[in-house]
Amino acid sequence: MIDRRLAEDVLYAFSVEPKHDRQTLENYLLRYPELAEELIDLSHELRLVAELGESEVPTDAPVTATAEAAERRPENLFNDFKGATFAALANSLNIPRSILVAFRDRLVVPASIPVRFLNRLSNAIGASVDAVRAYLEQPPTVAAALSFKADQKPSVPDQVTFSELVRNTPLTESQEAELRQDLSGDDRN
Amino acid sequence: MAEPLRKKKLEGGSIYQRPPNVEASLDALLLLPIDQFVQRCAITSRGDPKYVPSECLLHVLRQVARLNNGDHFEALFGFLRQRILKALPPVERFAPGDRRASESAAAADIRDAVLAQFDQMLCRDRLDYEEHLDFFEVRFDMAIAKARSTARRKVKRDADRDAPLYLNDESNEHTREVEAAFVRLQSDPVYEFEESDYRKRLLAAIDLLPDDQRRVIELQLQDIPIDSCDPDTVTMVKVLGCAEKTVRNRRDRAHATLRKLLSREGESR
Repeated sequence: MIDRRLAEDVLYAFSVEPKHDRQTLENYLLRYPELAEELIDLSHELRLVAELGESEVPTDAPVTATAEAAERRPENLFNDFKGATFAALANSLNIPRSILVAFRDRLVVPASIPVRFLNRLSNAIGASVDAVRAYLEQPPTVAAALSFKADQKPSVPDQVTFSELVRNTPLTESQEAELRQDLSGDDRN
Repeated sequence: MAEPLRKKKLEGGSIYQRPPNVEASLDALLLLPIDQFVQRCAITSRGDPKYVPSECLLHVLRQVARLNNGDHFEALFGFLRQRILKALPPVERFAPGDRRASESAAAADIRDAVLAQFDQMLCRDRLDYEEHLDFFEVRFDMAIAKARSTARRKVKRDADRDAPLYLNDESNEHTREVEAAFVRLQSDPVYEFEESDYRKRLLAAIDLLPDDQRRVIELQLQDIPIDSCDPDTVTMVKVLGCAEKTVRNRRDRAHATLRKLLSREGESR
């Protein structure tokens, strides 16, 4: 039986390793086979931290800190659109969900968005065009670019233009027609 | 320069060092009057240039605790507590469907256990020197993940989350489909936008699996093979100490459950 104090040392040592890839895990598993389960569980926890990032608001943070944070961060226009309502919003705009996700995560260059589409989006969300524009002009959501097995800390993703996004997304005929109309009334791209 | 750490590495016996960026931040922060330092610890946004890294906050807290400076200790301890809560992974945000009340209760127990463990370490550190806290000055968030992992084992939430997620239909088709999803996650740029969202949901769903299935999936994500003829290769069979068939069954059950969780999520969207 491995001494509990040593086990703690091993698990902490694993947690602060610069990388948590296959090689690092294998090294620890080979050296400390008695701790296999704990090492695998820890590997999963480390993945969660690396991939999901930290909570936006601490669970029992003082009210002041929460209020401050809310003040700094403009309202998330997509707060009311989750799950089924998110899908319904995409349907009402006649676009695939993946395109709407790109807008939600602010992965689209704001200046490349046709006015017709911007109007359609604001109407569907029930916000002013200015509010939608202000939302989209904030930096992209970092978490959106995480690679499933990233070795390095994820960086802010590159944005794409509206036309690139449309080009690279599989569309139904009717979606394509709708988006082509958005693009044709506009010479931004 | 900040006082060096004391914890020795298991291999080679050299002493742990803070990463260069943490040392550089500490050098600058230690020049500040303590009042100003405390004020800056109130900044919660990591993007803010004046944000104090948690590694540095903990370092100063340990110093202040030893000097018995009550007021500053209280303030810094409050900020550190917030950092700990923030560092716990927000799986709930991405968990498919609704988590049951027992899940939330377990999450609260885990959180409390992590905080209690941290309090104990700080107490010991005040009296003597708690070397385990050195790890938190090296990579705070990852050391918190270790504390959480240990707490989670203590809380043992398996019993009440096992059965309802179980799927009886275990056709190979399901397995292939989820396997294809794993591959697509890494390779297909067309799905990039939707994938990032899907990936987080997949991770959250993995977190809901029973322990034995979750371990197989974690090893699969690390590319560790189920079995091998080469006696030196690390395999799931060796690491988990069970038969190849058992590993495959666990993997298939896990894939079926994940598929069910994620497709249920898809239907509700």
